[in-house]
Amino acid sequence: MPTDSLELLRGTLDLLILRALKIDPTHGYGVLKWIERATGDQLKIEEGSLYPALYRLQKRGWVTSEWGLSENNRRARFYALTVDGTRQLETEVADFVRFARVVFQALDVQPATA
Amino acid sequence: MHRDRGRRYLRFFGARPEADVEDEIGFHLEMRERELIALGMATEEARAEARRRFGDRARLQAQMQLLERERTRSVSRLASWHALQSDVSFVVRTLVRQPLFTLSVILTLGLSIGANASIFTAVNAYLLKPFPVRDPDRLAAVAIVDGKSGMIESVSYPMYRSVLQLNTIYEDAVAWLGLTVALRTEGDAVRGFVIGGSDNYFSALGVRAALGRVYTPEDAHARAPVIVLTNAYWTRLFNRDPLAIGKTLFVNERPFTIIGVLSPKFNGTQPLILPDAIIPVESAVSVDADIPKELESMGWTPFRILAYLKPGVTIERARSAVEQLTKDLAPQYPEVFADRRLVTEMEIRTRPEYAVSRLTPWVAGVFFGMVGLALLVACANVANLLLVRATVRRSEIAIRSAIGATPARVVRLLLTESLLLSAASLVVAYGLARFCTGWLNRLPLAIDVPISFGLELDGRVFAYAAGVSLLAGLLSGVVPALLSARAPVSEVLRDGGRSGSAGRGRTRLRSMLVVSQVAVSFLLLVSGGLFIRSAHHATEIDLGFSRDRLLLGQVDLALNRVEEGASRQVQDRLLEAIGTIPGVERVALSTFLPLSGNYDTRTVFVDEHPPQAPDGVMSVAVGSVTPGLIATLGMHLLEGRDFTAQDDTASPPVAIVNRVIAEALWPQRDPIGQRLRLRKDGPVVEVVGLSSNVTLVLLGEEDRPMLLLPIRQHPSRQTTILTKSRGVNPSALTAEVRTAVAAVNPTLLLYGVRTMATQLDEGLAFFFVNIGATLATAIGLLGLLQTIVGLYGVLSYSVAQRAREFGIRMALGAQAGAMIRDVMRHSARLVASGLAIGAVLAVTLTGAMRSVLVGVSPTDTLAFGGALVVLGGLAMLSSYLPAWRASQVEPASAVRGD
Repeated sequence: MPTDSLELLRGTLDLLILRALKIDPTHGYGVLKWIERATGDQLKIEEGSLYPALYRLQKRGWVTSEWGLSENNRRARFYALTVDGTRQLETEVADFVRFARVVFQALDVQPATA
Repeated sequence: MHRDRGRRYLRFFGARPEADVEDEIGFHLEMRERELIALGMATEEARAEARRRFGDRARLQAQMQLLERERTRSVSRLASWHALQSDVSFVVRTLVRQPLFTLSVILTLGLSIGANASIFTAVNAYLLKPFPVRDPDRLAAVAIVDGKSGMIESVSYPMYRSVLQLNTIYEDAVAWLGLTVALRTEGDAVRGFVIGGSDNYFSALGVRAALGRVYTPEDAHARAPVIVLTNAYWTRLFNRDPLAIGKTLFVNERPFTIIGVLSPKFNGTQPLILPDAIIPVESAVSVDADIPKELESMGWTPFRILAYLKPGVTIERARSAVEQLTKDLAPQYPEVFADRRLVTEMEIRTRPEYAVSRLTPWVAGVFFGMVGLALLVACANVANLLLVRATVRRSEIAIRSAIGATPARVVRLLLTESLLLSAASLVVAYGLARFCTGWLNRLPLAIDVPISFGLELDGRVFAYAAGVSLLAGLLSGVVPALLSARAPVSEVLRDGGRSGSAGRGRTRLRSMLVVSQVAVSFLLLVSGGLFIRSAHHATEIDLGFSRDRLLLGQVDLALNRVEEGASRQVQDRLLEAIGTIPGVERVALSTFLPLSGNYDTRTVFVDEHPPQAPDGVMSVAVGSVTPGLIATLGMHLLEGRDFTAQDDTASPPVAIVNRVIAEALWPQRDPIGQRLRLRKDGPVVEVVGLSSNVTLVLLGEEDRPMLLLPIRQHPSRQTTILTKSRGVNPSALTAEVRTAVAAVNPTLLLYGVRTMATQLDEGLAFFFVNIGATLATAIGLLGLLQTIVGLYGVLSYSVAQRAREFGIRMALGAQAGAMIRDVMRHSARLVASGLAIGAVLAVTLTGAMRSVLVGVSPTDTLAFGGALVVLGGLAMLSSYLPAWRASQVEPASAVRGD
């Protein structure tokens, strides 16, 4: 288990947020928690980059938000993937996989061994 | 909890990014804190840790708020744009599908708004628009008022100099006079109008040339022959050729160098006149031989003054200052200031002309009131049409509501409709206003100076028209819109939108609209009738002279540089040449012409001081005339004798006074043989005749004192030739008179040739009366038309609504006549109530027109009766068609329903 958290690659945060919202609409804290869980706490997401990223995704029309009640009955803003967002997620996943493959190839390592 | 509800309620009025961002961060911190507590941290510690992990909250919050604001702005803009787009396209589609309805609304509103905008153009020009010079809000006019007649008159150059010296009151002042001159570049001279301005004319007013330069005080002091053209004249004469600068223009045959062209915004300072050019008055000295002699004379008063009040000086202070100035000057110049004093008034209150500016707000008020009422009638009409349609569309709207359209949304749709309609009518309105002002500006007038009403459609007029049409659209749209939105869904859907009675309230509202239309329309027709009667009356009042069989023509020997000494011979030959034309009964020359503005004023002095003229002085109008003028003009010689050819410089000075003078100076005594002087120490003039009075300046004026002098003793080179024809058509003599004048001297410029009747009808004297009658009639007819259409619409609609009832009655054996009577009775009730209210309104309101009517009472029986007959008759006529239709209902189809 590495002692330091991994640095986030550019663009990866957007991808992870979209992926987090693919399952269910959730609030910003939920997104954060999902990413931490999904990456086994290896990726530390800063609030300082999460929220601006969420807002930017909204502005681009990939994510929408509305106010609702949280699981503990608090008023919270819930984010959800739009149709465009779903499409964008697919593209970005495909792109990322292609990108990773190319980099692995160049480094001459197998994903499985990394 | 409570706080939440409040906030959500606020969100109804739009997103609040700041609060949202704050809430979101708060929620985040709370969640983190709970998590940490769940992991076993103490509350305080957990809170601190949550904050620490969050990082720089303030900075992030600011960043998020910025992003959020950008986003919500674009989202809401997009949403409302989409909604608007869909509303507009829906409304356009429905309107296009009902072209008749759409056109009637657009024309109804458009014509009335156009009438409003046209009148506003005049209001703008004469009451609102700043004068196109620097600091127009401090600009004041200075003039003389005649204590007896109350007439505003112009001033002399020495008075201007005295005003300039009031330098605690006025910062600066300009003076000018208008000159009719002969203008020529090459070829024949034409008559022109030139302003002679004081040396500082342009510099004080802050006016610059659009091309070249304006003249400077140095030009004026050097008496440089320089001339600045107005834009209109430059366009007319040089076709806007910049090379005109430097060319020579001959003014009364004196060469002047063109140094500049003015911008079209500034057309000199002479009210209602668009001059050809402006020269320094010092240089004008060379143009008109009279000027140098008279420029220094306190009594020579052709000048007008505009002066700048010093900042902070009120017009009241200026008034008392010029009053004091009068008191200071009067002892030195008793003959000039006999019964006259200097007055001052802000420039904007002296329009269109100082002498008549007291009437301006009245006239504007009357016409504004009339077009305002016409607009109300139009709004009522449109409201009615929309109401009818709203009723027809009740099912559509009910369905909309049923499938979830909020009342607000329905109202918005209907308002979009009325706003679109008012936008379209604005186009019609603007077109009409353009036409009206164009027509007025192009109106041919029998006046010898270039008249300009200064009416133009500027941004202010457009803004006004847009505002009015917006208001009209809302006014006529809002009531039907609200009523429609309120229609209960279930009820409408149940009776299939073909309701037998569309709700009593709405029917009553429509009836009230018709009644008020009839009332207002009656008021408008009465006003129109009063103006027509006034115009008609004006042609019939005894003017004290004859308007028949008279041909007029002006000759100014000064224009042709005929020296003063030679003018007598030329004038004698003119009289002889014209007098011998067959068909000419008599001919005379005169320097004054009634109701044309051509007359001079002088002061007469008598040695005995009668009570009516305690100083022994009296300001009178004078005219130099040839023998026979009194008979030619159709005045009457009441006593004594006319002038003869022997009354010349070699014989004792004589004069003919009119009744006003005789009664004022020698009451209960024979005026013949009385003596007066024209200067305080001048030679004695003997009164040899007594003449009747004439209307000199304004229709309906109080008779003015008038003195006639023999032209041989008081020579003048600018005269009117009055030719009395034997036949009824004096204009048949035009060619012969022209030939005769040319035979005397081929270069003589004969201008203003027209009959006295034309001069009166198309000249300024009757102009305002006539234009008033035309306008008032047009507005009255507009109101009438709309009322008729409105009444017709309401009755047709009510007949259509009651078709089933009529059908059943027919089926039960009722006669067609009964149906007709029934509908006509309904109509008659509405019209009669409208007429009754209208009559009360008219009696109350037409009193305001008293000051603009000539010789007609504001409760003139004929005007009231005429309006009653026309409106009542046409209203009943327009109800006949719907009534007849009621009698033609097919019982079977009506009962079956649609």
